[in-house]
Amino acid sequence: MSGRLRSLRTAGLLAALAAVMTGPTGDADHPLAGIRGSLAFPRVLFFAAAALVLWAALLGRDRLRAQARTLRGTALGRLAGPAGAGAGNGNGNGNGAGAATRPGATWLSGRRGAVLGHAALLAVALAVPPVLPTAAQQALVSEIGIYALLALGLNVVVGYAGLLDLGYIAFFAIGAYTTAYLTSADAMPWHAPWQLNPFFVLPIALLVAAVAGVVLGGPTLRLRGDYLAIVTLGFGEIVQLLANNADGVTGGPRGVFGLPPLSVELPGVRYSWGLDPLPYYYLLIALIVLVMVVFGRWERSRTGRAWTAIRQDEVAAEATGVATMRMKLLAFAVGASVSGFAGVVVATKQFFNPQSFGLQASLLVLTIVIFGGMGSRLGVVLGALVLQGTAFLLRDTVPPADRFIYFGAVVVLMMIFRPEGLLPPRAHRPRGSGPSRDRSVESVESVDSDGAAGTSRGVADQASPGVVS
Amino acid sequence: MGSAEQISQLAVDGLMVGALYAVIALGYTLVYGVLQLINFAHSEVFMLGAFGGLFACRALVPGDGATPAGLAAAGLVLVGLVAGAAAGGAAAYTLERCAYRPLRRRGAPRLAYLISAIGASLFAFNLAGKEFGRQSVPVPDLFANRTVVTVLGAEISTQSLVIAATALLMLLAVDHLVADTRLGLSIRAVAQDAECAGLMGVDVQRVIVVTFVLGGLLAGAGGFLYAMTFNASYTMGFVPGIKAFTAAVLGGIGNVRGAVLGGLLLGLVESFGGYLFDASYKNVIAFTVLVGVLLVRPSGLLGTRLGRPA
Amino acid sequence: MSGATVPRPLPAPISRTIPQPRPSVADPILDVRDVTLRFGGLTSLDGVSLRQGRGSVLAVIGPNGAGKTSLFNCLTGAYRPQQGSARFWPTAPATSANPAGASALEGVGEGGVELVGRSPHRVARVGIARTFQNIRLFPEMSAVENVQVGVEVRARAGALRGLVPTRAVRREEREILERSHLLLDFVGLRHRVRWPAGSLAYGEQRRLEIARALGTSPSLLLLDEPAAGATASERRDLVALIRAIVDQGVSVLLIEHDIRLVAAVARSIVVLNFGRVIATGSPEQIRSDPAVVEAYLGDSDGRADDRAGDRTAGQAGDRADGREGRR
Repeated sequence: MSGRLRSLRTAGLLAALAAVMTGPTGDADHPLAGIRGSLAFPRVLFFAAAALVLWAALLGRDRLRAQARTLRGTALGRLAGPAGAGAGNGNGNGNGAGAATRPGATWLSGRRGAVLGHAALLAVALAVPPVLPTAAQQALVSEIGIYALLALGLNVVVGYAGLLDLGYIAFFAIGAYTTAYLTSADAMPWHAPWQLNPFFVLPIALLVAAVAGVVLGGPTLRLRGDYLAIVTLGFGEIVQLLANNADGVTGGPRGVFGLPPLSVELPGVRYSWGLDPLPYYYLLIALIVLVMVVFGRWERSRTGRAWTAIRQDEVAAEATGVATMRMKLLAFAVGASVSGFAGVVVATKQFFNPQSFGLQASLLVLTIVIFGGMGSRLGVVLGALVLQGTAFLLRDTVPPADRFIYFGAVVVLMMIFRPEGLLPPRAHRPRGSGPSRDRSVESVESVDSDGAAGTSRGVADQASPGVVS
Repeated sequence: MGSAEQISQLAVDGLMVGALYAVIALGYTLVYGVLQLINFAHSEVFMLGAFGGLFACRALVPGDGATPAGLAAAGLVLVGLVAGAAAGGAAAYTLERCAYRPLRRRGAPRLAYLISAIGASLFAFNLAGKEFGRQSVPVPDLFANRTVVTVLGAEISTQSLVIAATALLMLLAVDHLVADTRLGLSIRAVAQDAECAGLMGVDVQRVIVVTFVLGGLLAGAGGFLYAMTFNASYTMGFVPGIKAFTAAVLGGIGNVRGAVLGGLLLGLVESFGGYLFDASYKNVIAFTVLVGVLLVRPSGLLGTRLGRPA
Repeated sequence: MSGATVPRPLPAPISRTIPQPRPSVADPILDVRDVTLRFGGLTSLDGVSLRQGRGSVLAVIGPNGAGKTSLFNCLTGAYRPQQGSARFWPTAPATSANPAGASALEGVGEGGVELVGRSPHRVARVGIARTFQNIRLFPEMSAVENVQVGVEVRARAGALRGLVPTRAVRREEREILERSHLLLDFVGLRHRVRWPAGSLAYGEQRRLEIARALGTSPSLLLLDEPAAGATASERRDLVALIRAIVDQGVSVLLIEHDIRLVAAVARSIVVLNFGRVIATGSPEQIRSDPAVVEAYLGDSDGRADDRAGDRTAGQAGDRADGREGRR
């Protein structure tokens, strides 16, 4: 009963919140005007109705969960016997066990399914943009594509290694300013003696950003998580402050423009990325796919497991021989380098100034990672698409300044209701043979009574009888 | 280096700002004590408190622009403080209720709390921007800006005196509350071992809420005091928030007296540092102090136990 | 289920272990001298010295707060003692597959490797693995992944090389997975391969922790109260498991409260009290040592534990019989 009331309260609160967020704007002379307007007569009815619908949905969800729990409990209890026996019959040379790890794999649930799914998404991503209006293409590049790339990088830091980096955008700035330094003689007061093709800057910016990541991480990664967050936050602020104040070097608040566009000049092939957003879009797609492939490989490798281990218990990881400091630095440097990478693309495409690299940009990337699913590559890319896409579609309804109200709300709501994000990483999805994490207590016990008996025999058999003193 | 007057003026200014940092820092320290978590959204509690006090004051000040006299001014300060504290307390309660408690119920990992608090902070200050406008708003002049006392050549205005005295009173009150009252005892018990305190009959949930609200009351009142000098705006929380956090770490996070010491010290360092280098680098100085302390002595000057005698 | 009764050897590490000579203190694996650890004014360890023979089980016992876990933390690099040294002579793994271990071993002469001042992961790499008093697994990783993290300490492919799936890299990955499965098998968790570690039963988690530690191919395994909270049958399994581990040439340093269990596996015992070694000797010597009886066992408890010790031997016999019967 109290559970229902609690659900009602939650629903009411969320509806009221939505009403205020979407309501009219107030100002300092009429501080309550916004709220009063938000809860004015015709509107409030709509949101009250929304609250009731939400309440019903919450109740329905609870009921479904309860049913699923009882169902799973009985099913597991029945399955556990034969499954355990099957494993026991393996010949134990390891090959059998390896094969047994994926017994329930159906056509679409295995690796093949994942590859096909990714390919389909890629096909859509390649085919759809040309038919979109230019404004949407522009948004696909500078609001979605770039942020997807950034989110992939931050995902390594936050999602894999569990380190909260709030100054992430600083590496983006470093990449952008490095590009300006190396490619143009007049965009910034300070420039290199020779100018490079922006494509050659890509690896350089990647390295510079990675080094910056190591320099920042070296002393600070020893700190506890929340201290690290605040130190990186300060780092982001300082980079922005320096970019702003060092007029003689960066051009200060005026910003940087007029960098040469990306271009390919090979014998036989000459191409330059111009003002049209589409070529940039395809370049970004290529970079995103590249980064996703590399990180996917890492995710399943020793490196990925070491990161997960650190995230889940750093002390145990260290005691198990994981060089935690080095792995954390690696995560930091990798994240930073992706950010620097993205910086090159942005720098060659559009004007930027220190304001582009504020705290809110860092928080936006974080929001995308949280929303998409920490640790999930496809999740954060979709997160960028959904969040930034929605922001683009609603650009005439919601003023840009108000966007962060929604982003903030998204972060809190995700943390409360769906911490694993839109598309959880593989490890969180239910497995073929093992139970999912949230299975009920009853089922554990039913399975255990079975398994423990088997194991106690297995171990006892290994003792040689003569050694008993 | 400047004259003796300049030095003492810098010291006085530093101590005044430092006292405000200390007031905010208490919120960080108290919450850290009971939850072992940095409340990233505390700066928005401070900001909302500032607006609460400001609007209450505005509603009462006559619109003719005249400065209220004597007793009326004192009354208005009091109203502002109370309204600020109420707004801060309410904000802190809401924060705990909406961004922290659901996670605690689930037993979420630490990272989740940090992220949730950051989201709440993002939400709160942008919503404030929407509701209260995005310009900087001054608190109505409550005092004629007049020097009342001169200490070693430093001029202290009525306003500074009021701010410093109020901050000092609040600090003393909190120290007394944590060190000598029953509530303080349960806060310290939860800080040292929440599980054990729970077994001993302390209502841990309640203590956490009370601690949040206590930190919110202080930050709210502090926000009003801060706004009296520096105006209020929706982004006002961020910088003092980081500085107060630095103060808390400097003194030893989780340590009430440490927060006070850290706040005053940071105020001084910043005031003199800003004079020596450039005022625009004040934030960098504070931040450098933070990084330095974290790297060299993360337990701070006085160690990290809540309520442990200094 | 009865197909599982064939005794299985501890799988050979990727880097193979050289066969061990019979244990003797003359051929030590660990030599701790005069280790002193203070926290502020509190002395947690006060001049602790002990010596462990290669291939043996040494038990450290003592009342709560005697400094047992502090000693472990000093050996594994979690704490840095103010004084003293801890020398360790790792068993030489074959060098080809193990550059880290090899380089650590190059410096190993008569004096062994100094543990004090090494960071925990470097202690693990030189060949000391541990478990924790309050189990510390990676709860959301599967059981096999937990073990893999340990096995991979000895892997060659680093972060960059692992990116390119060359044949060598793939083969190593396969070997790692295979060995991880074998280790799970060894501790009796074959049926839990894909389960998230956090969802295993308490006793299973303890065994998984041991498998993870064994994954690092240690020469010395530190077990911190492995039988805490275990049922009688789990304790018997643990005794068997420890013996099986020692049979594979891994020395074991054991912290345990259960004197019956200690007497069943360890030939020698070190007793700590208030951070000092108050007695060293065989289980029989320790039982009759007046200082131990007074400090640790207490009057009535001592007798109770004595009887319990006898009972352990009886139980071991029962178990052997039971196995005969099953066959």
